[in-house]
Amino acid sequence: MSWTNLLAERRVAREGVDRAEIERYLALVASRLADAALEGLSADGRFTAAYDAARTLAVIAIRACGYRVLVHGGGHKNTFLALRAVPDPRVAGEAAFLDQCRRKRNEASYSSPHISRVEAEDLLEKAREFLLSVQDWLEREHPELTARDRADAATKAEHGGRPAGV
Amino acid sequence: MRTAKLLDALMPRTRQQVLGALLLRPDRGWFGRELARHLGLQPSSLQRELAALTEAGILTQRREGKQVYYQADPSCPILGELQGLLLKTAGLVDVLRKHLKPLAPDIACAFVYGSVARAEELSDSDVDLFLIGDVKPSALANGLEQASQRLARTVNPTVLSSQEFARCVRAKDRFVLSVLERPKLFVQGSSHELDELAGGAAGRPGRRRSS
Repeated sequence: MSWTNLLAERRVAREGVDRAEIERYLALVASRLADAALEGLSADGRFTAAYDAARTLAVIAIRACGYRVLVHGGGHKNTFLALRAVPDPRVAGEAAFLDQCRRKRNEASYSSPHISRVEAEDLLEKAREFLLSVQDWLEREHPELTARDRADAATKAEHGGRPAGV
Repeated sequence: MRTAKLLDALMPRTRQQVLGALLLRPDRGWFGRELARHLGLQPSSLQRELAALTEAGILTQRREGKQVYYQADPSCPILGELQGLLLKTAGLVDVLRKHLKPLAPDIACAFVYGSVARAEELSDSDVDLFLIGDVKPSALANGLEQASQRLARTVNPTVLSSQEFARCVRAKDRFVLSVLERPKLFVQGSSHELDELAGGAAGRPGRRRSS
């Protein structure tokens, strides 16, 4: 689904973003990934933490494109629909699996409460990979939003580089 | 909208199974005994269905030696519509099998459970897939998304390793035992293999209904 269609269906709204917001999200991702790695937690607890980390990473990618996810029709569902519109195949390519995890989390919350160990560990592994993909993409396409390339971002802005928000 | 037992309202179960096997593999011909074995039916119960469907122009038959082969008739004017209908219902298992094929060597057992397997499916119900083996759920995602699109139903997998499955059975995990006790549509493996994976601790798993 394109950004135009997502806007028309009121699944996202246009909204700019700054580096401080992205850093807050990244701190949350780090915290949830650490939770998901705790061996003492149940599979369900680890899965939920890893899911939160991955969903927050999807939010980062969407915010970097200049959009905010709306809750109309389901905020989490909209997040993974919008993730498919992010113009990077490695980042957008995680949408099918993360949407599968969204449905699993819903099931676990409302009907059949069963998360297996392999499901929790796989999601954690994928969330860690997703973090690297999102960071690589941000540094390449939106360096103004990353702390690491602040100087590059300033240079890019001076020379009329593409602003955040596409 | 609740549309329970959608295909049951339209035709008997045996005819559903015959059409599901033949119309969704239109390139393949089956002889009666082979089809009966595939569907878990008595050859005698198939003959009337095969004759009626051939007479109606939905199937063709051809003789090769002593065998009579039956196949979907490509000139049937409603073949596409029937295939679409069956894909959403009786053709489910074959579609799932196709999309799981790349991972088949790592799958010990896979089956559909829930309302679809209980033949209580609603027109919009999800397909619940239980999978035991050395498979990562993330490796399933793209294939199952394609299967979901083809079936016009969401496929929701639950994945356990063989060891975790056996452990859940021993610990009498409520969810796992409830799945074992209920009807299933096997996509890979059989009730016998499932029983072995359960280590005999599951009691008698739900009866195999198809495939």
